[in-house]
Amino acid sequence: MRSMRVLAIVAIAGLLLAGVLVDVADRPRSDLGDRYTSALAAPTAVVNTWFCPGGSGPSGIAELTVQMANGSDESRTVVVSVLPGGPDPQEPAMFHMDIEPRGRALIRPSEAAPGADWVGVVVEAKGSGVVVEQILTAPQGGVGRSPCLTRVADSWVVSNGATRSAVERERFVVMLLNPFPDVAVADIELVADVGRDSIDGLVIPAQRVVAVDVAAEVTVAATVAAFINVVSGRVAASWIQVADGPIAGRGTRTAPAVPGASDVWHLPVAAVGPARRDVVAVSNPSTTDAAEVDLEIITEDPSIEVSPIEITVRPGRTVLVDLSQQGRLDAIGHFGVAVRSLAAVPVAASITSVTSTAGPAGAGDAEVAGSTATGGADGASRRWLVPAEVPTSDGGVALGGDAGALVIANPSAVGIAEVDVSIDGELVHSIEIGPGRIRRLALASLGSDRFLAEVDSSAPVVAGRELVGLTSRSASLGVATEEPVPINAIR
Amino acid sequence: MLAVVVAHEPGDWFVETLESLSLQDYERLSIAVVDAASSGIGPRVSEVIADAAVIDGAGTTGFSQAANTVLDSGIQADFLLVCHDDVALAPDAVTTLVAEALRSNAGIVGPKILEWDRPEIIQHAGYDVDRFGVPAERIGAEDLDQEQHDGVSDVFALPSAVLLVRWDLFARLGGFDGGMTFRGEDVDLCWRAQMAGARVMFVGSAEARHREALVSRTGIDDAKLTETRHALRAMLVNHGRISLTVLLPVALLMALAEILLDVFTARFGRVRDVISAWIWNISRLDVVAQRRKANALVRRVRQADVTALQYFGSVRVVASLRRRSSGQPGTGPPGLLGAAGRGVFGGLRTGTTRLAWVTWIVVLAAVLFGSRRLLSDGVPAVGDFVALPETASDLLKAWWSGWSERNAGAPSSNLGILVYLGLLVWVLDSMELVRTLAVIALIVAGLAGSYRLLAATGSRRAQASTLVAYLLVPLAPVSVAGGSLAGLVGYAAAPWMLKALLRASRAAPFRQDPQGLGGHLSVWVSLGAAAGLAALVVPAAAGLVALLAAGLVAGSLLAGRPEVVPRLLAAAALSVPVLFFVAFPTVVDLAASGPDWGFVADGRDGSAGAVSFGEIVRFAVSGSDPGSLVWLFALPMAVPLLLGRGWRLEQSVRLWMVALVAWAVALAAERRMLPFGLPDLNLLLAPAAVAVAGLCGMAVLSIEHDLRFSHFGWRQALVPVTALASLLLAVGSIGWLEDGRWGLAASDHHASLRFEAPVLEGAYRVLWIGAPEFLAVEGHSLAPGVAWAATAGDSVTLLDRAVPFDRGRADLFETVIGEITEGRTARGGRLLAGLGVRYVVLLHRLAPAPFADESDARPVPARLAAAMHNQLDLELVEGTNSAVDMFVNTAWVPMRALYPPGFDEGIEDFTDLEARPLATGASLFSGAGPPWAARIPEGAEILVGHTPRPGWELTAGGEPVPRREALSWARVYRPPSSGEVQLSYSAPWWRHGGQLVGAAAPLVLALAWIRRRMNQS
Repeated sequence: MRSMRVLAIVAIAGLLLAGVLVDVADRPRSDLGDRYTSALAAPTAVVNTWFCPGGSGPSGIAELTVQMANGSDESRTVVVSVLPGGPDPQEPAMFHMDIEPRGRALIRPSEAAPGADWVGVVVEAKGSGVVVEQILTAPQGGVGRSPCLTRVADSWVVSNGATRSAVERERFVVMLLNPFPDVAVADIELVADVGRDSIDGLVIPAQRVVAVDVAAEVTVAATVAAFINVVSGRVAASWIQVADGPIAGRGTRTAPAVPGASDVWHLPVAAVGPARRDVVAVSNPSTTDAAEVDLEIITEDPSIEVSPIEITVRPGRTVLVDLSQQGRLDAIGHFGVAVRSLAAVPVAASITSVTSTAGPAGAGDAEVAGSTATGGADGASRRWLVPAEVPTSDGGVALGGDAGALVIANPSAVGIAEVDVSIDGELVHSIEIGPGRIRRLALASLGSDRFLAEVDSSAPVVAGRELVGLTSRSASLGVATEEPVPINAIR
Repeated sequence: MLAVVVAHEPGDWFVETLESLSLQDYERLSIAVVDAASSGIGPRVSEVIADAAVIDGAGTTGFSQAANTVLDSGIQADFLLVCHDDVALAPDAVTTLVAEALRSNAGIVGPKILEWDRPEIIQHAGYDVDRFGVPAERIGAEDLDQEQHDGVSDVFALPSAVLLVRWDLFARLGGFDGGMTFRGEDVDLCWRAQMAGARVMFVGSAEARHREALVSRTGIDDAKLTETRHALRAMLVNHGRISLTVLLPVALLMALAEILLDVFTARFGRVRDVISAWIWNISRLDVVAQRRKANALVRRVRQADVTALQYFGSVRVVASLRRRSSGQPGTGPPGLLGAAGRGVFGGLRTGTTRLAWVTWIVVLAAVLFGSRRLLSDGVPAVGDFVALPETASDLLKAWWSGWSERNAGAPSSNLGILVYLGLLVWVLDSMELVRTLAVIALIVAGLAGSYRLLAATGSRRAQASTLVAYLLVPLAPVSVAGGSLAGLVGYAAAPWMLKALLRASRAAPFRQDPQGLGGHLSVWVSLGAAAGLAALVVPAAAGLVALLAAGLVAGSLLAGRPEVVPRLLAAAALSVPVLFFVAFPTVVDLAASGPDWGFVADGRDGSAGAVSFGEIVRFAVSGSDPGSLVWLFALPMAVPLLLGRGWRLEQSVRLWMVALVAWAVALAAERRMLPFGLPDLNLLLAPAAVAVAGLCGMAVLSIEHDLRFSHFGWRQALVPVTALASLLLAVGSIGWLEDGRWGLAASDHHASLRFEAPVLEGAYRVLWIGAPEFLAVEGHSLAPGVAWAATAGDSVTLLDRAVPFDRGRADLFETVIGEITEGRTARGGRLLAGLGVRYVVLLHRLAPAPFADESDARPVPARLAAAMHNQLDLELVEGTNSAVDMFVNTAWVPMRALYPPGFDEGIEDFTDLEARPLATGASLFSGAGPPWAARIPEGAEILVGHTPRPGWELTAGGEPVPRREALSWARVYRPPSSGEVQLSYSAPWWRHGGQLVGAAAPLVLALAWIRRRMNQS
């Protein structure tokens, strides 16, 4: 009896202890974890929905045109919904279109909503291979273009705008598109070099667009960042910057807002030069923590090593880094920038570029002036579609000159990316990109006129483009057609 | 003094009867024997008592007439001692009786009557009598003679087995009522004696033994018949007019109630007895009138004074119980009520049973006090506590229909328990009351089971301790607070299952069942019945048998009793047929649904949870934390391990292992150690709860029996420490009683969700997504900790919890949800519209705020919620509640609608709906059904969005309408012309048969159990 008692007590105590030990070990994750959602445009579904937050009607500051390119060998049907905005908005309009294989379609949404001050577009494309871009044309000059968004979100960051309307004739408009059947409400905090302001409880009606003229809120600011918090519903957001002044240059640029923050951003298109001023904007949405950020310069030539630019971004602030003022970047030509937050305080990054035709004395002038804006890429993908254009010589632009480029960056620190570039299904380039390097391919060497460059890589890369038109410039990221992976998870 | 013995063909014992009379120390005792059967017993009498007179009782019928012959015999005496022929008096009995009769001036006195073969057991100690003439024993069953009744007391009546009556009184009363052959004549005589002003007294110091085996001697079991009719005769004859006017209707109602009860318990013989008794009396009203006149002549005492000596009010049943508590086979058929009576009245005479009763009263008071708000306000539809359909007929119709609307619809046998709920609702006429009573009944059933768990130990202190411990174990309040029906069913069933398994083990002290197949069969049936009844409500609850058996097997091996293991395994295996019978045809449906584990796992997929081992051990698994005081259970649980000896130690080890196995399984489920999902943790922990309570009972047993063998030391200190721990546990549990609803939220989600009535705009479905515990019906796993379910219409009822025969086209829901979650569509509403889904509800908490704290929230994963928010055709309904996200599908089309021909052209596959949404059709068949009827125009097509299964039919003019497939899953009917059409579903005959068997099974089992209890008693 005594031995049985001892045995029982030991066994019971042992089992209880085993339970405790099992429980002490790391608990397997049980939640449906927040899957990484890239800021990139990434159509990967059967029916892909594109959100173009839009621009103005014909009489506004930047008329919206939407370009739909079909990179597949099959005809694609798209459903276009034009969502109006303004004080007297009309009902949304909807129509179907078919896009020929390898073909394009351009629409002017304002024609479907003739009385609307502002228009946005939702494009639903059945099947893969369709890329939708929004093109904004300003009467005062310049064309801005960027891929539309493939997602909506409840927070957005616009890092860099300006509102010096008197001297620089700058207008800075944040476009908010609500494609849903219920009302969205947003709070916008504007942080400028001249102070702070906020717009609370901004209502974005169901299936409408709302344009926020930042100049009406923050006047004469050389830099304004907008932190958009959608308290009810979700929206898609982009921004339009129009300028025509001695400092800001002349041009129109647009880019999607950044949906949230990340530890690492890649800006593949950057350069310094006598007639070019590139500015990286890094915003810290945190309300409590300062971000220690390194701007790593990624060059094409492996022999060039540039030490990173170290900055500190205070909570809720935006720091602008004028790359043209960084002496270490002189004469290295084109490069990319990796924005890396060191202390796990996520930031948002974008880059703007102003190119003028009249550089400093002695420096070579650019052939085409213009300003561009590119949001950062927080993810990388193995497959990209990049809409491109190469102007013909009839337009007065020398083909061998500054005709734009396809830029591919390998964010890996150790792996080589083997990249194939195809045009209309035909391989035109096979290249290798070393770890932490970029490659620029002149668009003129890839194709002519309008085409879709297909990038197929053995490892996740970031692809972007710099377009130089006859009268304007634009730059943007491409469209990832395979599920992006976060760059900070790439070794 | 004359002793008259009424003899009717007595057996060998008669010699002992006569000898006991001849040996009386009372000197002037004359003896007369009435030969009631004229069997010529004179020589037998004279052989023992030479001078005894033998009176020929020829022509008499029954004991009364035979005894009355003494009045006509010409014999004179001061006292008459009336005896049966099967009694044996103690030598001083007559002396003692006469002395007391003289001393107390009593009219009738009687001795303490003992069992013939077991003189240590008291058989009679006088009767109490109610106003309906029904006697009740003043003693309990198997009452040991410990001189506790040796005093003298006034009683209302004495048994005619032996009674001493003054001769003049007997003569004045005219002796016994000659119409009362056997049984009841003594009550009538004593009643009339009281009317005549005579005292009736019990003299405990006088003793007699009595065989009381009339039924076995006559071969006729007419005890109930004669008791009932003679009690009624006594009431009719002896009451005054006024009291009779009041009591007669009451007696009639009681008789009707007794008939109903007997019909219910299949005692049709007793029904006949009751009816016969009334007919017998009604046919002899002239005799009644004559005797009432005779009574008027002898009456010396006011009627009210006599009535005051009887039980007040309607105590017939109680008196019947007490009368039966003596277990006299000759005085009436033992039965269930008798058994209950013995438990009640017999037990009350001992201190430990009084403790048990007080404990029960306190426990039930605590349950009722803790449930006061539930009783007054009802049970909100939180978690599994779904609403019931609006009327009983709805419940029964739905049960019979054989179709479940859950998800995409599927054939279903529905739960057999719906029939009983329907009947209960019909009787009580209140759905809310039935729901509330169901919740409370489950708790009480569990408590009753816990009390019975250790009955075999014979210690009522242990039983009471187990009962209290089971109340204090926080499983019941945690289950109620968490809206866990599975937890409550487990709480109710686990004690009964454990008890059956312990009986099956035949390990000491659980050896009360007879040896042989009959004893085993009884245990297996009990086990299967407990499992089956639990499975009727929650199918997974049947699995508790396996869990309990595993624990007992492990415990038996640890205790060095491997011989028990085969018995346990055999019991678990052989209880399955009974389980199948009781839970038929739900079990058939589950078996037919194939390898789908979903209905058992209730939407869980085996992924890890957030509950720690400490919380599992403390039963803090449903969000409501019972606090740290629960750890104090460790003290009483440790006591039997430290103090117990013999079987107490063995059983403690078994109970410990039962608890450990339950905790281990729960931990394995939470730690993702199993490749499949397990049911609600509350259900898994039910074995642990009953084991903890059982160990507390074993602690009392160990202290009672084993502590005395220990030397003085730390073991003695365990007693006050354990008592203090128990006190603290009790005090700590008071918090559960505070809100009167066991922590259950005061409101449910339906109060904050606004669904349109289907009859207004068309039939629709609601897609629910949330933690499995938050869903009102069994869900399907969607992601770790997230499940989905779809219901039809604007309310979720118990009907939606039916186990479908198969999954139907539930896969389509999973396809759509997957598309939405993975971000592959922004038009999920169009896909959902193809399934008739109008609303999508994401449940983040068990109940709406502020009734469920944010700390108890288990939000739908942000990614899934964001995916829903991202759908262009799902409109978020503002202003609902922070505990839910409710979306309206702006692309919705009714489940059943009228369309123009070719409406689905180009939609080859269900997923085509994303690009080619359905136009809104005209709503059709939107009321309650099936069946539905409607008039349709010419050339229209009818889309019916149900899982296509044989049995569905659309008829026009009585002729079936041809159909085709649409949307790759639904049906489209095209009636040939306009006019009235009817859409109906008819289940196959075998399903209806199965439903009837399933509904009848619990009733059959209940009747069998009642009969067995009656036979046992």
